This record gives sequence, C-alpha cells and structure tokens, in this order.
Amino acid sequence: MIDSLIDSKCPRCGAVTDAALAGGVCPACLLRQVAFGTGGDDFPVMPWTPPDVAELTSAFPQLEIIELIGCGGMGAVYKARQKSLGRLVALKILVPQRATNPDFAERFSREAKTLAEVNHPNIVTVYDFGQAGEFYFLTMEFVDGANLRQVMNAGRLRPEQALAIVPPICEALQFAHDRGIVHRDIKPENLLLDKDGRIKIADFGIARMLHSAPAERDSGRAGAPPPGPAELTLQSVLGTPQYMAPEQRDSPASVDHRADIFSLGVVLYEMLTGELPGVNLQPPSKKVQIDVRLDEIVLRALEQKPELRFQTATEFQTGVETVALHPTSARSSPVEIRPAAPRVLKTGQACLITSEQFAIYWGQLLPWQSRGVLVLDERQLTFSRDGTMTVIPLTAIRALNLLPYPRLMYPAGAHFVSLTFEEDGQSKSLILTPFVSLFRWPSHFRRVIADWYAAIRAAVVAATGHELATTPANEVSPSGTFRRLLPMSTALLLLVLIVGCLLAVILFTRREKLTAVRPPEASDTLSPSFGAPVRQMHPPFMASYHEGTVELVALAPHPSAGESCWQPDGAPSTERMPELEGHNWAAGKIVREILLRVHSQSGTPPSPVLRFDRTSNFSGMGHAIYPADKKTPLMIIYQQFAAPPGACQFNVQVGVADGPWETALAFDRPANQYEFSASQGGGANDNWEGSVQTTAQDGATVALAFSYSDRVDYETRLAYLKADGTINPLRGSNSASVQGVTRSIASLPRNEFASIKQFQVQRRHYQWVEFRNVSLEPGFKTSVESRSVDRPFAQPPQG
Amino acid sequence: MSDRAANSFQTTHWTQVIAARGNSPAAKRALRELSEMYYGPVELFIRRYRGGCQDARDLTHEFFAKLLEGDSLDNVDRMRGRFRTYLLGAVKHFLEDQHDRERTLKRGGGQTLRSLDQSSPDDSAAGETGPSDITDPHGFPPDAFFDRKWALAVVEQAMFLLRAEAEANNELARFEVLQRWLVTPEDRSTAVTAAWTLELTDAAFRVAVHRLRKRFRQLIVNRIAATVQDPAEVQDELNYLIRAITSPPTSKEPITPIDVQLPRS
Repeated sequence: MIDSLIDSKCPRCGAVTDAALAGGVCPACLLRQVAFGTGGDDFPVMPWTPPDVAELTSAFPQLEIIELIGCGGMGAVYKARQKSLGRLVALKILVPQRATNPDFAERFSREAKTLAEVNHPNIVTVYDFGQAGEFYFLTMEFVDGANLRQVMNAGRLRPEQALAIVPPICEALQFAHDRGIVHRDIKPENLLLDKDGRIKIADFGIARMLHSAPAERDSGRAGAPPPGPAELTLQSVLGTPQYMAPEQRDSPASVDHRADIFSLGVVLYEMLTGELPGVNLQPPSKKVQIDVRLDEIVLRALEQKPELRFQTATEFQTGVETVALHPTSARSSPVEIRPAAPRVLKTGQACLITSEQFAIYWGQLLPWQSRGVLVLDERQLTFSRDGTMTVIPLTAIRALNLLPYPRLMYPAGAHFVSLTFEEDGQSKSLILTPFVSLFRWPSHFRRVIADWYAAIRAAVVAATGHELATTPANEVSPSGTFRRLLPMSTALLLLVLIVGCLLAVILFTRREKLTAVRPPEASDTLSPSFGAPVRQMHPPFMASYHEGTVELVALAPHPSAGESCWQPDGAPSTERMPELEGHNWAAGKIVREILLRVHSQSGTPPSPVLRFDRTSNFSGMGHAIYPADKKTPLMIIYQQFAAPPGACQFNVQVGVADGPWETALAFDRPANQYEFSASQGGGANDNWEGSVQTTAQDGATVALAFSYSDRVDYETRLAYLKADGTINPLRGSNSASVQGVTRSIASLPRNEFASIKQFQVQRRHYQWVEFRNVSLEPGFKTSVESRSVDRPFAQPPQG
Repeated sequence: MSDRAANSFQTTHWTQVIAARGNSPAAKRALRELSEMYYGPVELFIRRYRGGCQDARDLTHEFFAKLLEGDSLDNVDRMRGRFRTYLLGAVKHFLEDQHDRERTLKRGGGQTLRSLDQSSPDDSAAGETGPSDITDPHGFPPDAFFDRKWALAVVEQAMFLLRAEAEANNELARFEVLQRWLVTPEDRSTAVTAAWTLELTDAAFRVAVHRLRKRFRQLIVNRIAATVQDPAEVQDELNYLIRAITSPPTSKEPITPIDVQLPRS
C-alpha cells in the first residue's frame, strides 16, 4: 500500500483529499459511511442528497426550475415556474422509496388525490402530482414568505400575534378533518406565512405517503407472520418528535384528528413561551406575561389522552378567539355566559343508534358495533366512533327519557336513554345505551344508565335554564315497533324452533357433504365459474375440499380486543380472535376480522389463501397464518379486511393448495457450474420458468439467488432434488414478486449444495370454496351458503 | 488534549447548557468545551467576513470571551435548537455589534477602520474574500461556509481521537493501514493486500475493520449528539453535515426574512 502524502485520492469516491486527515479518505465519504450504519443499529437510512437543478430540468420539461428552497427528511422543495401559465409553483420531490416500501406508488397516488381535492385558502393547494422519471413529485402553490420557524427565530412573537395565527389554522384543520384527512405533522416548519399575512398549512398527508403500515398489503400467498416489534419500529413513527401526540408514538396507526390538535397546542405553547413543553409541563402564564385563561386552552390541547383534548379544531379555535377578543381578565367582565373551555362532566362508552336501526336487531346482544365514546360537557353531548362524531348541543335537546328494553330482548332487564333533539329545524331521536362490560350484574348496568340519564338531564337544565320534557314512552319508536312486531315475532320464533328441530334431525341422519372440486386438468377457460351447487349451511360452517375441510369460524370488529365475536350467520360466538399489535384502518371503510380453520388430512401442510370481492369494494388488509402443530392439529387463518360502509353481509373465497407437489419444470445442476435455469412455454397461461444462480461462496455456505414462476391458480415453489432422492424446498428471504416471477435469495451449507442433482419448480393447484352471505354485523342474521368455485374473484393484475 | 477530550464527551451536552440557560457552573463548563471544539469554523467565518483585516483572530477571542461570560441576554434567549445554529447566530450578532461600534468610532473621527466593502487585492488572491459574499444584506458570508467548516471540524476531531486511541494502545502502525478502510473502497481486492500487510487472516481483517468503523461511528455520533437537543435529531444533523461538506460554499442560501406581516385577527 503506497500512498503519496501529497496527493491522495479517496478510495471510495476518488476525490482528491488531504492525506493528513485520514490517510486520504475524504470527509464526506467518512460521514456517509457513518450514516450508512454498521448493520443492525438505529441509522437505517442513507443520507439523501436532493437532485440538482439540472437533473430536474430534464425530468420536468414543463417547468422552469429556479432554485432549491429547502430540504427535509421527506424530500426537497424547489421554486419553479410553470412555463405554460407563467405562475410560480413549489415543486416537491420526495425521497426515493425502495423495497421497504412496496406499495408506495399506490399510496402516493391515493393520498395525493385526496389532497388535490382539498381546496382551502389556508391550506397549500396541490396542483399536480405523479412520477416523472425516477422522481415522485408534487407541484403545489408557491408561498412567497417564510415559515413560522423562521419567524419565531427572528424574534419572539407577541401573544396577540400568536393568538391571531391560531384561528385560521384551526379553520383549515377543521376543513381537512371534516374530509377525513389528518395532517400528522403539524409543526412551525409546516406553517407558512405569506407576504399578505395569510397563514397556510403545508405538507398535509405527506407523512402518510412515505410510511407503510405493514399489514396494508393484500398478499395472500404462503403466510407471512404478523409484523414483529423490529418491523414496527422501522415503520418509523410519523411526525416530528417534539410535536407528536403521545398516541402517535405509542400506537401510530390508531391516530386520529386529535393528534393534530395536540401538535397545534405544542406550536401555540412554543409561540407564547419560546420553549417547547417539557416533561414537567408548566402553564404558559408562569413563564411569560399572558392572560391566565390561555393556560386552560393550551393545557387542554396538550392533554395526553385524546378524549380529554378539544375534540374538534373548531372548539380549539373558539377557545382561542374568546380569549383574544376579550383581552381584559375574566374578573373584570361582569357576566360570563360561557367559559372558554366547557368543563367535561362525564365520559364513558355507549352505543348510539337510531330508532330505525333498532328494529333490525334480533338482539340477545346490545347493538355494539355502534359502540363509541360518549362525552358530556357543559355545552354538548359528543359521541365519537370510528373517526366520526355526533355532536348534540345541550340546548337543542327537547326531550329525554329512561325506558326499559323489551323483556324479550333483554330478559334480565335493562334500560336505555331515548333522546329527542332538534337539528336544522328537524326533530330527531336517538337511543343511547351507555355500555358496561357484559360480565356485570344487571343491577350495575341499570345504575350506570340511570347515572347517565340523570347527568344528561342535569346538564341540559343547567345549560338551558329550564326543565326538560319527558319523551312519552309510547312515542319512542323502538318499543312501539317492537310492540307491533311482538306477536308476529313470537309466532315466527315458534315456527323457527319447530323447523329448526326438524332440520337438526334430518341433518344428523344424512350428514351431507359438499362435492369436491374437480381435479386440475379438467378445469379450463370454458367452464363457467359456477361450480357445484350452492349449499345452505348451519353451524359449524365447514366446506370440504379434496384433502380436508375449511371451517369459517367467526368474525369480529377491528380492533377486536375485548370485543365479542360472532358466527358467520350473525349469532354470537365465544371465539376469541388472535391478538396482534397494530390497528388498521381504511379511509371510508369498515374493517373486520375473520377467523378460519383448515383441517388437512393429506400429511403435507396446506397453503390457504383468502380472496375478497374487489369489485364490491372489499379488500384484504393483512393476515396471519398459524400452522398446525402438535398442540393444534388445525391450521388457523386470521385476516383483516376492509368493507364498504353500510354492507351487512359479504362473500369470501378460500383457496387451499394441499396434497403432494407436482413438478412443473426441472433442470439439472451440473457440477462446477454457477448458473442454472430453464423455461417452458405452454401457451398464454402456461409458461413456467425457474433459475438459480450462485452469488457468493464463502467458506461454509453458498449464497443463491433464485427465481420461479408465480401463478394465481397454483401455489409454486422452487425445490431441489438431492443425490439421495430427497426433495427440499429452497427457503428464501427478501422475496419479491414482479410480473409473474418471484425472486428470492437463500443460502445453503456447502455440502448440501454439492449434493443437489436437480432443481425443480413445483406447483400445487388451488382449490376454491366460497362462503356466501357471511354476516358483517353481530346480530345481523344471514343464511350462509357455500359452494365450490373454479376461479376466485378477479384480482388486480400482479406485478 | 486526548484524555481530557475523551472524558468530555460525557459531560458536554448542549442540552445541559440550554436547561441551565448557561448559568450553572456545569453549563458554563460545557459551553466552554463546546466552544473550544468549534473554534475553527467561527474563526474562518469571521476572517471571511472581515475581508482583508488581520484582526480575525483577536475578534474570535473577543467573541468567545463574551459568549462564555454569559453577559449577553440576547444570546440566552436564543439558546435552543442546535448548538451550530446558535453559535452562528451569536457570531453574526457579535459581528453586527462590532460593525456598529466601528461605525460610530469612524464618525467620531477616531481611527479610520477599514470598512466592510473594501477588500485588499492581495487577500482576495488567497481566497480569503469572495465577491459573491455580498448576498446577505448584512454582508455576511453564506451560512454554508460556516456549516462546511463545522462538518470538517467534526470529522477531524473524531479522526484525531481515533488515532490517539490507537496510539495509546501501541497500534499506530496498524491504524495507519486500517484507517483507509473506514469507508468501503471501490476496489475491494486491496483487502487481500492490506490483510497480508498486517499479517491478519481475512476474517481477522474484517473484524478489525468492523471494530474501527464502529468506534469511529460512535465518536461521530457522540460529537453530534453533544450539539443537539434531542437524540432523534442526530440523524438529521448528520445528513445536514454531509450536505454541507458536499455542496460548494459559494451556493446561495435563502435569506431569512425578518419582516413578515402577521395575520390580523
């Protein structure tokens, strides 16, 4: 190793460097290597340098790129001019995504589309988005001014100025929240002030584009285990640490709009005091000379629990505006009609339904899919569930009553609160059942409900100043409808019981079984997708395939922790769903969990796959497969899926590949060779290919890169035949499937590799059964059917 | 310097300074140690600002003296964010005050000091001044200038410590060879030669390289962590420093507007 002292070149980048520094390594490369990490520690990301103007100019011919304005963790922003319109725009280039983010493209376009529809004077408008060459970009409104961070750095803001900034931000946030959009990264750098003094929120939803929840993929192939703790931390928490709500750190996927309220609270605190709220939260008035009423506002926004904060941005805004508009202290104003932040009187869980919905439930159960959080404060009653909120101002409540459930529904005796109120000139009524765990005595249940009734009544009286009418018992629809239905329903019930007994007898004696699916060769494009005839089902809900049975066990809401499950026909179930971390949600959809069991008698482990009907807007969201072992002979499949709101029942298909593997393609491994491959064409649907390549030989192991065909109708794998006649599959890691081919890597001990005579691409045909009319709501009774099908629901093209 | 500096990593924390607002003795010590490490970028910045003036070194001294005395309330007010931005802000503030003082002196008929706009033709040849420095209305050189030197200081000091540690273990000769392996080179076949030179097996060589990289990494990360408020910021600061080294210092930096109208209520 001879290095000239005068003229050294960096061994990595070749730049000329000062040899005295590090034997000629350039400092940039040194730092880059540091950022790259030494494997297995907490710096997974290589530093990204933003593309320079020349690179962008060729990618965006329609823009005149002027200069780089800023660069952050998510990307870089440039000032540019649209040549056609002559207007200035901000061009945001996102940090390039890699294999860790497989559905980035889909998520990006979905988020960007939502953002493009958001049109508000205080939100930076998105003009266009997409992919140009290798860059994912957004073009946005160019804001000629500074961000709030720069303004704060330039000098301390006066309290009046800080208070003037908050209301427009709240308006904009409310606007977005109403459309189901949460910002998740509110911080001074994202709040822009233009020359006219208008404030605009930037970077809405960018955070969501860049980070994938691990269970969002609709894979159904050989079961992937649920994400472990390591993957979830790599998911890297969204938002900037100092401005993040606690729930953003702890359970990132369950965050809602109230996280934005927290972040805005942090910003307000920082504007007023010049510091970030620390671990020991000090009220702002102790640090600076401001109106004491602001303390309450800021501290409420900074509550650790979302339910204790302002529930809407508008509430926050009202609080701030009240203080800002009345600068004198509270004491001096003679009459305080309303406090700035209404005091919370009672919180808890309850089920809220309309009287029409009441009639549907056969209900041994209370209607708990409509369960949410109920908050009573001095001004209103708020019910939040699944990201939607019902707000009833106390002054709008016209009548209130505590009524018993019909005995048939709840024989032990229970009550509900019926509430009549006025909204937009119309009279509406609701049924409220404060919820308590089922495993309590009815008397406790009654007391909780009675407490709520009394609390609401007292609050309304206090807010309106006069007594409240009682809703007459017979006017309340549920009892009324029920009374009408009662004679009919008892008759029906008796009839069902008789028929049920008869059927049970018949079933027991006949033990009908579903016909098996035809063998693979017989299936072809000509036969219709209606397979064997449809069969009515009764519990247990089992369908057979050639080598075993598939049982549809239960469904549950998501997340299912603590919630009850129900059987496919709506009846209650005592099953428990597996507990997995994380909470999935899909915008505008309801999420459910489904549990199945597969009992295979073939001796080889089966591979089950679930398919949902995409054309009806159902999609799988993530699954876990628990293979059979000594303790459980059954394989358990657990899947989360998204359904369109309002759907009460659905169809699901289960494909099982079971039994012995067939060889689709075989190719030999001559000794002393490093690459082996084969392909075989058999028409449009029958191309098979496979390849294996040695990539490194390192003493004891041989590293291989291999690929094989990936098919919808078969389960496929690559296996090898050894000299002793045994066949083993190649277990790969980092698999990716692109355009019908799965690529993966694996390593084998040297001896093992040496003993391989032949590689084989193997396949097993998927046999499909369909469960129809599966209930999506507990208590919603359906008649479940099953049939076998040749082809599953159409899926979007792979690749 | 070596063992004192090695110990100083534990005590030097920017967060300590901020928490005590520079007032406690521990905070003052921390501030002093931080200042010593980043003396270089400050001096370079002042020199560039002062054009041909030879008083850059004196001014730098004066600046740090003032800083460590802690008499300026303005500085305390700005104690947040990262040490790098704080220090640069403090330097600019100091230079502005200096400028004002000199101007009043000039008007008062005292010694005519060289004004900022003039630059000696001899010094510009040495690269001390640049015509493109008048991008800032206050006449400051671009921030990137300071940041670049800062990043270099971080690397230099970490390398210095790494070398000192090797020397203390009597492994200097080995270090001289291994240091080139702190980055993965283009031509990996030189590993064979290097291992042979050091009389190590392939595996042992790899282990030695890995250990050295890990230690270097630790030193750099500690350095950076000492200058930021939140451990989560370290990666961001690291990325920033890499960009600072790679982009040329004469690039134009966006100017921070001071005068922005705030929304009327």
